[in-house]
Amino acid sequence: MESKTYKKLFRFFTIADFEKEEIFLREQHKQGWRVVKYTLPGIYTFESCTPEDVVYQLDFTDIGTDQKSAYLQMFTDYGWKYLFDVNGFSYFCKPAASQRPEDLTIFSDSQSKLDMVKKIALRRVLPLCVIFLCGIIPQLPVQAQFDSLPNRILFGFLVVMFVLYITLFIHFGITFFKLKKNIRKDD
Amino acid sequence: MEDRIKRIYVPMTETCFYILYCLQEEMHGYNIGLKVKEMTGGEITISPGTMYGSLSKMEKDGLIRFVKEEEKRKIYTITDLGKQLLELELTRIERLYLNSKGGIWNGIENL
Repeated sequence: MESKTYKKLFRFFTIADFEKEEIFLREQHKQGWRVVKYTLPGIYTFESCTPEDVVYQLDFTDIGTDQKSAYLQMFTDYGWKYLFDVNGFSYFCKPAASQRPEDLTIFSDSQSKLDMVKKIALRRVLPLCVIFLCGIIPQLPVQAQFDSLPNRILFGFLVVMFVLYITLFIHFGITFFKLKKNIRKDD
Repeated sequence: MEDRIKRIYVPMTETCFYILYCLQEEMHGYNIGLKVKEMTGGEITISPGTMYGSLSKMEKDGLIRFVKEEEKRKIYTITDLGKQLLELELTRIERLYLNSKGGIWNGIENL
């Protein structure tokens, strides 16, 4: 039997980038690399496999552990293989061969996809907004006043965080409104 | 009926309509998906993420009710509120259909 080889790749996807992440995982599988593990903030472990077109889908849920088995059973019934859960996202995959396009997505309408993005907003982006508004923003002018090295380092750190947060909020906002626009098109 | 429920479910999305329609019989999510595919000649697919999310939402809003779990599959059925909404939607569709054929709608007398 051929022995398995492994590789690790680092890719940073924000919580709004789940579609890009799905494409990334599909491309890797096409090249003969099947994802086996994902560790935050972005370390993917791949195992060598036969190159195949396999579709990856991510679902963000806030369901309790008592509901999880019924939830996973539904995806199994629909032919999706469950991989793992990271950061509130459940990862699923399904070989694309001899499947119709409508069976290769876990959301059949954009309303339910928007519902998922709303859940991300509530569970992930809202807490970040609180940290941003109550932590970073008030500290910036405070730290800017002092001239000592630790304060400068802290100030630098806060500026980096400020930029990161703003980028994330804008990025998430764009994703959100794109989906909303899609829904109007569907109506 | 609450205004909030009416705002969300009147008019109804196709996903919601077919789920409510199927749940006049007790059924679990995957079977609803199969039945909808069959009755629409493959025209309508309700994918698992959409199905799970819709069922949870409709249960929370009181349109459907959880009956029991069988082999990890949750079985649901329609509630009275769900029936009322389905009735409203069916009447609306009857009106649309009648009007599309050039007819004049006189309320439920047409039915």
